[in-house]
Amino acid sequence: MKKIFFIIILLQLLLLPNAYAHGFGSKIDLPIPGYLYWFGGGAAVIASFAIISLFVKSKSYDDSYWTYNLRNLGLVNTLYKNKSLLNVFKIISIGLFILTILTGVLGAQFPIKNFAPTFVWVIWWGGFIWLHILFGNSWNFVNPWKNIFELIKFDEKPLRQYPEKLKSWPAFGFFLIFAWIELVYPTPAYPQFLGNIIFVYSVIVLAGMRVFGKDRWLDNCEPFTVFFNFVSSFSMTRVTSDGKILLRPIASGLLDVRYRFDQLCFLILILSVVSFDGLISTLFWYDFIGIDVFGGSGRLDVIYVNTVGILLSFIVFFSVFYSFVIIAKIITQTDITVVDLAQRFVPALLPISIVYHLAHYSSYFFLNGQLIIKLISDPFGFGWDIFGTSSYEIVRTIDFILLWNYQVVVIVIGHILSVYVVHRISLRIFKDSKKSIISQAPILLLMVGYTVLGLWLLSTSSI
Amino acid sequence: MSTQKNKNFLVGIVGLIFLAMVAFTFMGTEDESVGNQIEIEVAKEVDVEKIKEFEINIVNRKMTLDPPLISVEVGDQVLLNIKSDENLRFHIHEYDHETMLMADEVKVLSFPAMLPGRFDIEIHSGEEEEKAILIGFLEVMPKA
Repeated sequence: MKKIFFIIILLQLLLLPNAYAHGFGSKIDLPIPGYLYWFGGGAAVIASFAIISLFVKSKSYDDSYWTYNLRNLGLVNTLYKNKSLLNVFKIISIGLFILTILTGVLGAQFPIKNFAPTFVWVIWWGGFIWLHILFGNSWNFVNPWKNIFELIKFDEKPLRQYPEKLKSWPAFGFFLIFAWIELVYPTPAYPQFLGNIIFVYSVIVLAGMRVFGKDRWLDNCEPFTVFFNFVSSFSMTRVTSDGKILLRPIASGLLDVRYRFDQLCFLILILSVVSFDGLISTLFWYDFIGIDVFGGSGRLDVIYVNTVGILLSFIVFFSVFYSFVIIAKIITQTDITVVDLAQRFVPALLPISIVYHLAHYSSYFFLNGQLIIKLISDPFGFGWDIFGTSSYEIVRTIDFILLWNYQVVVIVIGHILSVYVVHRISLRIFKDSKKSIISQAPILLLMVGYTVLGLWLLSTSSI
Repeated sequence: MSTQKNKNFLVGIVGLIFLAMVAFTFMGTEDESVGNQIEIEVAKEVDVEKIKEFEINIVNRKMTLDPPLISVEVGDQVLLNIKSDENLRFHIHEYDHETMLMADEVKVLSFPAMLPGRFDIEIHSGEEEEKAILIGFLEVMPKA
C-alpha cells in the first residue's frame, strides 16, 4: 500500500516542478538585502519604545475607537440594500467552486494549464486575504458550502446536538491537515488530487452542516470560516448585527475580541504555519535537517521530517508564547491565571501573522496570479479561448527594490499594530499605566523576536 | 416538497460528479506537458566588461560550484561554459534557456540577464527525462 502511494506520487511529480515550499507555482524571490533586514529590525525596536513612551502617561483605559458608518454614503447604502448583488456574488462563488472541482478532475493534468491549482493556491489562498483586510468578512458571503447549503434549502434544524466540549478543535485539526497538504504533501498542485480532495471535503462539510446545524459546524469545524473570522478582526470594516458597515482603524477589531483556549491554539497555529512555510523555503532549513536539496527529489525527500516539523513548529511557537506570558505574570504579580492572561494577549499575534503572510506571498501572488487571466479562457487546458485571453503574456519582471521595501514596511507596520494592540490590552487588564508597562515588556520582546524572525526568513537564501 | 426536489437535485449532481471523477481516475491521464524547445542564445556583441563568465562542471548530477549559485546583475551578459560527466539536458527556469550536454564536452550557453530574480537551474537525464533535478540557482540582482 505504502509502495503504491509512493508510485502514484512519483508519477504525479513527473508533471510538477521540483518545488519545496508553497502549494504551487514558481518562486523567484531574491532575499532582502542585509541593510534592509537590520533597518527593519531596528525600526521594530524603536517603534516598540516609541509606542510605550507615547502612551506611558495614559491614566485610564478607553475601550472606544473611531468608527464611521459607511452606509451614510449613498452608493454604499444602495449597494448594501441591493440583495440581488449579493446573490450574484453567491452564484459566482458556487460557479467557481464547481468549476474548480470539474477542472481538477476532468481537465489537463498539468498544473499551469489547469484552472484548479492556480485558483485554489494562488488566488484564493494567497490573495483572498486582501479582501478581508479591506472589506471585512467576505468569506461569510462567498463560502460556497454555506451558499450551496442555503440554496438547497436543507433543513437547518440539526439532527444531533454538537458536542460543545469539542469547541473549535475540529477546525484546528482540519486546518492542520490543510497546512500539511499545502506545505508537506508532495503534489498539492496535481489537479486531479485537488479536485478529489475538495470534493471529499465538500461532502464532509455539507454532511456536517446538516447533522450539527449550519452555524455550529461552520463556527467550530470549518477551518476557513474560523481562519477568515480571525482575519476579519484585523479588517478595516465590520458589518454589525444591526446592519451598519463600520469603517474603523485597521486592527482595532482585535480590541473587541476575547478568545477561548481552543481559539488561542488556532491563532498560534496560523502563526506557526505561515512561519514554517517561510522556514521550509530557506536553504538554512535543509542544511539544518541534513537534506541536500540539490540533486534530490523535492518534497518526497522531506515528507517525514517536514511532517514532524509542522507539528514541532506549533509546539515551539505555543511554548515560546506561553513562556513570555508566564514571565509577564511573574513580574506583574497579578492574580490572573496564565491561561487567562495568554487568552487576553493572544489577539496581538494576529497582525504579525497576517503581515508576514502578505509579505511572503506578494511576489508569488503577482507572478503566478497572472496565470488566472489565461486560465479563465481555457480552464480545462483543452486549448479553448473563451474570453480571448488564453495567449496573455505573463509580466515576469519584478521591481525587487520596490518589493523589498514593501516587504519590510509591511512587516514593520504589522509590528507597530501588534505593539499597539498589546498596549491597549495590557491597559485594559491592569488599569494603571505602571503595571501595564511592566506587563508589556516581555510581550513586546516576544513581538520584536517574531518580527525579526519574519525579516530573517525573508532575508535568507531560499529555494 | 420543493425542499425534497432540491435535495434530489443535489444528490443527482453529487452523483454525476462522483461518477465522472471515478471514470477519469480509471481512464488515466495523458501527459499534457509541452515539448521542450532547445534554445541556445549565443553571445551577441556586448560590452566586454559586462560579460560574466562561469565554468560549470556537473559531476554525479551536481554542480561543483560552492555554493551552487551563479550571481550576476541585470544587464550582464552571462557566459556559461558547461561540462557534464554524462548526457543531460540543462535548463534555466523562467529564462527557459536550455541546451543538451554531451558527456565530457564543453557547451557554451550565453544570454543577456534581463530578468531580475532567483531562478532554478535544473537538469534532466535521459532515463527520467521528465523529472527535473535542481542543481543550483541563477541569481540576477537588480541594479543598485
